[in-house]
Amino acid sequence: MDLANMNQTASPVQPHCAVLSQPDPLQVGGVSLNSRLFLGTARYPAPSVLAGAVQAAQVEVLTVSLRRLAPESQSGQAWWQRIREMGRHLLPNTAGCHSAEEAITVAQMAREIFGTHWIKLEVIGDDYTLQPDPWGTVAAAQTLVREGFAVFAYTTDDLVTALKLRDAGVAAIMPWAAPIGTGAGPRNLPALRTLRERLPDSVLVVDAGIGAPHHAAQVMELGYDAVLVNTAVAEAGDPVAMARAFTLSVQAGRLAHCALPMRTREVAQASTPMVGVPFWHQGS
Amino acid sequence: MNTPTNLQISSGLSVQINGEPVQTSSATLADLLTERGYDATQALACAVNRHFVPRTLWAQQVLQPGEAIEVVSPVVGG
Repeated sequence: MDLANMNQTASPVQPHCAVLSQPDPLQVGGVSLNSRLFLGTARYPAPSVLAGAVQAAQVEVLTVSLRRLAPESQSGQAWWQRIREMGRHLLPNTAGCHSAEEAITVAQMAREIFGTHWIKLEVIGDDYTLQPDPWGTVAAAQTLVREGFAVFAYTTDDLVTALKLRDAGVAAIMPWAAPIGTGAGPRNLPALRTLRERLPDSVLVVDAGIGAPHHAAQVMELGYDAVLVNTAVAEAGDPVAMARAFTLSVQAGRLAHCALPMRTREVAQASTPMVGVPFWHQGS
Repeated sequence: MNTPTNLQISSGLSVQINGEPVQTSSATLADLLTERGYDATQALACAVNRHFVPRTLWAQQVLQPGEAIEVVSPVVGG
């Protein structure tokens, strides 16, 4: 069945995006992406499992990081070699940084090592919740944008912080759904909805706290541009299958967003027509 | 004759690499990396006192006593 034609003939209303009938790429950081699922590379049981997940999910963006290197552990770069061979866009992070200054330096080191001007900016303000520091994040973003970086800024769902990141000129704003690694799913959907409504022209990517595919679908339905997942895939019983499940859920959520979900109601409303109901008013 | 300058040269510089105190006779960052066994052909990046030092400047980066040097490489990440 031709879904595009079915859609057009079923309703005179024009869909506000044409996901069914034409490609729906995401433009971010100077590139065009067909996949709206970004995948973290940590916590997999083996490099081969990560490779299988990347392949199954057809992801185009992989996050990576930098850590101190001891001379005797240079053979540990096997993971890096494997990731590089995958040929995907690399999004290095500044995980573990606690100040704008640290994050800027790590970003500069990442640009040299990974050969990309993309940086996933993380400035942590609280070690227990791993909640980002909005002041440090905005300050670092301003400097990094001036230095030519495409900044993907990890933040909370706070609207004003997101507005300031937009004003700083970041490539993408990446609010959390819940704290990193919790898998709790969106804890504040109204806040995420507000971000989407108030930042209609910004690239918004939900990062952190996604635990299951339905969480990803949920935020994509809100109109988020992409989702970044790591632990939910890496720690699944079958990471390869879960990676594929996330891709499907992201696609479903995107399609649902473009299909304009119905408005919810407080009371029941019969979906079957009421006219001609058998035994209507005959009593019993 | 051991002048103070000679003493300094013979005992080397005290610096930190990735938080560990080390004594070195190297004069530059490039020499220090070689001395400590780093393979400069690998994917490495460096900072001195929290400031990024591009690879092209490693050979010109003269070490100073007490400097804190970071040597990092790619790892997996989320």
